[in-house]
Amino acid sequence: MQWWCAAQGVAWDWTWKPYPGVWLFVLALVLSYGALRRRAGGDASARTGEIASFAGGIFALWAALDWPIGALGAGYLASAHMVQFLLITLIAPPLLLAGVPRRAYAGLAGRRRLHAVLRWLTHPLIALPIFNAVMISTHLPAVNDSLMVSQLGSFAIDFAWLASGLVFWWPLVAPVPERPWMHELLKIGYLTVQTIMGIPLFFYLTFSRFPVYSVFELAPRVHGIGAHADQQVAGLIMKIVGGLILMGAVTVIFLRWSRREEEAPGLARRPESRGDVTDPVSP
Amino acid sequence: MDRSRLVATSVARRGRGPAPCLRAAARRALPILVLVALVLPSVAGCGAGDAGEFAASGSASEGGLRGVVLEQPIPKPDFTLLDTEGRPFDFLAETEGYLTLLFFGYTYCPDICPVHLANLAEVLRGMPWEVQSRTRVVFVTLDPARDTPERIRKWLDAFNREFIGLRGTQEEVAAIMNSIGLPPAVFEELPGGDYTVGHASQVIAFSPDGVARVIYPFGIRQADWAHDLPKLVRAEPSIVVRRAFVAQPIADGDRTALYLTLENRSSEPDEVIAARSEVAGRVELHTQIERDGRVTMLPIAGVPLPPGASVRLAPGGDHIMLLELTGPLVAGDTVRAELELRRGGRIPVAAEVRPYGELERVLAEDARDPVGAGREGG
Repeated sequence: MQWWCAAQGVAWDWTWKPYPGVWLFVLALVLSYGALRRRAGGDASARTGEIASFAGGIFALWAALDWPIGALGAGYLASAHMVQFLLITLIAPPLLLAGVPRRAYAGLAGRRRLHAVLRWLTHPLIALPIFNAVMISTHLPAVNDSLMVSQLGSFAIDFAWLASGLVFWWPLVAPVPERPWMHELLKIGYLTVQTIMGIPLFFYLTFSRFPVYSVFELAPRVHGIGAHADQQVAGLIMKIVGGLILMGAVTVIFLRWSRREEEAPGLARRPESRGDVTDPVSP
Repeated sequence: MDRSRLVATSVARRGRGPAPCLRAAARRALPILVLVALVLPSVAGCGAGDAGEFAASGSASEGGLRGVVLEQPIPKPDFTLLDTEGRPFDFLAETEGYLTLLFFGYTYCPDICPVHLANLAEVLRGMPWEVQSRTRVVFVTLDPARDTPERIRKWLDAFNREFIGLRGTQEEVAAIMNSIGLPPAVFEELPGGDYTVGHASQVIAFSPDGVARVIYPFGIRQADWAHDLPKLVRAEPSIVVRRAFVAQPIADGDRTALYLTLENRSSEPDEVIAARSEVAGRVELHTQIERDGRVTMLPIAGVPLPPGASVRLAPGGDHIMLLELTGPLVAGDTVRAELELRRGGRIPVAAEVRPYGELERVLAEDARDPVGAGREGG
């Protein structure tokens, strides 16, 4: 039995397999969240939305890591691997971050060292390169092929994706006044840049003449799906679905901005203050 | 500058407002941006057309092939099995002149067989027609008990309708595998009465000249196939037969000689070590020597073929004796023979029977045109 999904080289069948490492990882996140909620408290009206958001994030993460998507993506289909990537980096992180109680973010103020690290890591000019460095490096054939064949390597890739996803979405989602200057236009620009950054990888996967990942090319076939076609689908999923997610986020930001502008016409406003949260570092 | 000092400086500057913060952040981000800028073009540059080279797993052999080059080439085996229509399939005859990829497997194989065939099929689909039309993929089942002709056909059609499926008894197939140096299949019982078949995982590539010099083990990539297939299809035989003819035997004679010119186009020395023909009970390599004023013929172990050289087997020198002829040979007949080479496997020869009186003229032609642009045997 494997504790984490990794390439095995055995024929695929639709028989459920347990991956206890995934369950423990998800359980640890849920328990941490429960503890965070208990400590943070907060008002009931916010609580439902936050819990729903976190639950959605956990579900996306669990779906990406566990059987069948996790197993298919680890050692059979590049397309499933790409679905995993999108779930772990573009779906789960914003939902998880939005689910964290605001008071918990405020609590960071008391932990200056952690706060300083987070503040540096989540600066858009740092977060964007980190996310793309992880995205590109984990999709290099040499890296992917050597890591996906071991459970530890596969776990490292999944963890790097989640961590980089959290860093990437933090400046957009985390309700802290860290970036009072991050106007909606900048947020939209941030997401648009990311859409562009994905283009080389999309081209690489979609227009390569041959499969680039040996782990998927030499894996037993799933329902006769060809390795090359599968890789092309992976590229298209990345571009189309990933693009839709990012553009969806752009739309949400734009609509919120537009609504606020309508409420206060003629005023160039910063994002609204978040009440009980204070920035412990800025003067 | 010390990196810890850089970090300390940037932390100290924090909080002076947006502009300094941006500048500091940009400075901090610079190494990462440079890294990304370096990585991005390298990835993008491996796009369409280059990915194969990037992903290639096989090491280039001396001949520029990515398969595993055999130290001892394998001649194409001579066998006949039933195809998926139930017709006898003469492997040697049906694949003559084609690049032939021979693979032993079974349709219930969960991993290696379908991966090999799927990758081959995908690559062949993208190859020029010249390569597709000159390549034969032959699958021989190791599991005739479960692999019915219909099942084999259906299974192969899922990859490529042109793939040839063959079926014989386990003993027949084991003998074929043995003849080309492959280990026999191993049947392993599974709980519940089912079983798996352990088998050699390599695809053996017989060049159009009927000799396998390279094999493709499991792990070979599509990019490697795409690299090698055109080379294998277009590969000229390393040994070329020219001006082959047989002297018409004298009346009631039971022996004659086969004369030909052999051109070794490779950079490796080779040697004719044996020959056989359907028209003769015995075939020997001979040479003619003069001893004590008498001309004598002696059997020889082989005829060396130095690299790049053209060797004539002609009256007065080395030649091939067809002994114990099975029937009369008349001028105009074609005699089919096969030469066995030390390195290059077996090569077929087609030689026209000529009256003995024409020999001088033919030899004179040969002397004027040593490369034999006119007639070719084989």
